[in-house]
Amino acid sequence: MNYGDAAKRYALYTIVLIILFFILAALTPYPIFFLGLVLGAAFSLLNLYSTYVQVKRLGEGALEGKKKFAFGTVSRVITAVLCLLLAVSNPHIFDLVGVIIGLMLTYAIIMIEPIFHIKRLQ
Amino acid sequence: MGTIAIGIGIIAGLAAIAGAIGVAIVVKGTLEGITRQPELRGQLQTVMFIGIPLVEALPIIAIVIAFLLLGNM
Repeated sequence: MNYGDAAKRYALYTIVLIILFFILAALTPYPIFFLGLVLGAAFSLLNLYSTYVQVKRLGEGALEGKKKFAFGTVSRVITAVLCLLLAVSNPHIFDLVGVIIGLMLTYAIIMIEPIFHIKRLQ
Repeated sequence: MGTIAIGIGIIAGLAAIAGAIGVAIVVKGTLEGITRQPELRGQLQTVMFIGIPLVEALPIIAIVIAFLLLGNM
């Protein structure tokens, strides 16, 4: 099992959910909440890509026996704070609760998705 | 107001400590495994790729709560 495939799968799920949130923002009477979800999910996708790059660099470094420096966690926290700043400065466009739920979207996908593979692993 | 400021500092500090220790344990274990058995690199990197977000989710939530408290001060 390659971690690149897992990363692509998680990214695909997140992109599908972002498109779904866009459609729901257009159709339902709660556009601010769903636009907040879209913003949070987009930054969450960015965090997923950051994790992918960090894992790739560290793996290569371990094989080559070289030291690799990464600012993975710090960059992801800064991304989350930037997303919140964007939401707080534009409360008429993005709902804060939606943004927070959206930020945790890929983490939730990563936690939930392996449940569907338990049968295959057994 | 002072109590909230102290609370924000404690939340952010504990989140930073928790995130640092958790990610360090995950990365250390994986890198040791890759160095010992390079042929298992793909599987170990998958575990690291899933493990890092699992550890990082709570510190990010804590930072978000600290930031929201900062906005309410």
